[in-house]
Amino acid sequence: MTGPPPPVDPSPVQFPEVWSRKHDLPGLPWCISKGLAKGILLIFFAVLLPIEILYSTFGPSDFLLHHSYSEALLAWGGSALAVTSAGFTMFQTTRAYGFFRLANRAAKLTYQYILATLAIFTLGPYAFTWGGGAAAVSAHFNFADIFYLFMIPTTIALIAAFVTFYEDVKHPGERLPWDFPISRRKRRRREREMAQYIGVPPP
Amino acid sequence: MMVEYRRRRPPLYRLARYLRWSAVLAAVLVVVFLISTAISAVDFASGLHVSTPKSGGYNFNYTEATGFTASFEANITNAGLYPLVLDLTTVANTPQGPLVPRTTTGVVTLTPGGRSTPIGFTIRIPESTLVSTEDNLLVNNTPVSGDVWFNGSYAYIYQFGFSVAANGTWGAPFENLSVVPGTPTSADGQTTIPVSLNYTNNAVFEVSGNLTVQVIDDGSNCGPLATLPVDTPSGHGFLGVVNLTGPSSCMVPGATVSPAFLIGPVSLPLPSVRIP
Repeated sequence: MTGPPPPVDPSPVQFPEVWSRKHDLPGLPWCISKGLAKGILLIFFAVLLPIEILYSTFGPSDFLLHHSYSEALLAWGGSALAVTSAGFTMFQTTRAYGFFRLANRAAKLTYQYILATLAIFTLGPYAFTWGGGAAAVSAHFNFADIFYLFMIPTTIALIAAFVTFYEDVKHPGERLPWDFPISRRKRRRREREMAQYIGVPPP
Repeated sequence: MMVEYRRRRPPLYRLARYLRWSAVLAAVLVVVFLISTAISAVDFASGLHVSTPKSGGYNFNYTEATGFTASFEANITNAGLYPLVLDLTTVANTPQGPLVPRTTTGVVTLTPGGRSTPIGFTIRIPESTLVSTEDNLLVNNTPVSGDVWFNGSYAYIYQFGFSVAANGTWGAPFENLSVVPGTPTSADGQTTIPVSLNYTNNAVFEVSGNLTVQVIDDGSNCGPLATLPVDTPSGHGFLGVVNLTGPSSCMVPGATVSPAFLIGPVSLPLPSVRIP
């Protein structure tokens, strides 16, 4: 039996790839800029400012006030926080994010613990003489419990970071649609473009 | 094709999110607590009220049983939100041994909310220490090293301490006591010897009581007891003369003039001198 050939199926509609994306990732330059800005801010607030306060305001020349926070500790501890924090911001769109977040929380917890063990300010001894002899007055103030209290939320955050790290390892990219959702403006524009493409009135 | 904008979040993502929010909540609670302790500390400082009895809170006493006692009492008001816990301790030593044994108030908790808490502190110096044969502390400004320190905690999380280490001299109430028998005069078988007494009260308290003077010969009292009332404020000197009259057989050169300080029923021996 002859006859006209069967109609050929029209080729499937090819949508632009961007329409199928479920997230709206920022560009790498933007992430790096954001991470660098965060790192610089943290270097200022977590390294330079504490050193300035402890070594210039109450500097070592001030014989009355003693503390156990060395410049090296403040510099290394603050830098570790700044670097890891900048790292997880820079790599937020990649699977390295979980690792940097975990490293940041672990560094923060360790730093808080070290600060707590050294959290004692000593004043004096202030020596003076009086009618019949001499005396020395000294005082101390221990505020370690403040750091121990702050270790509670940091520990919870560390567990959260571990979950994120595990998620990034096991299901890479799973979190991206929620970490970087498409904005409502972009979504409407995309819907308009799709409707125009397939020839139906936009919703 | 459908783009799923409103899918349910994956379980791991949800778990991490809940944990992060919990951490933020815990951090906020910690910050709120710390702010409340700061506000409470300001309230405590502004509402601090120390009330003492009419005597000023200080009280010095001497009894045979307890020896010398110095006590301090006061009521302290804590207007803050959190308790203040204090523990005051002191100890003092002389070259001969402990002058004031380790003494502590024990743990005192100043309850918050504007309530007043009594706090008292008493140090005791036993009579045996005060008039020991090696060093009579009543007349000698013996070197003393002392330590006073208190430890405290506020709002459960702040610990602080304060200490004073002092070296000085014990303020002797009869410092440089000078007992000088004068020239005896005899009449009707009785001999009268004027005895001058001179000292400086270096103690922090007033010396109030009676000085007694008696002649001792061959180890026994042989003369009458002469009494001289004294009332010497702290830092002041005293000069007085008392006449001892007794049998001529007793008031002989070589006999001992023995002074003592009488507080109530207690007699504290002072260094004696011989009649020239």
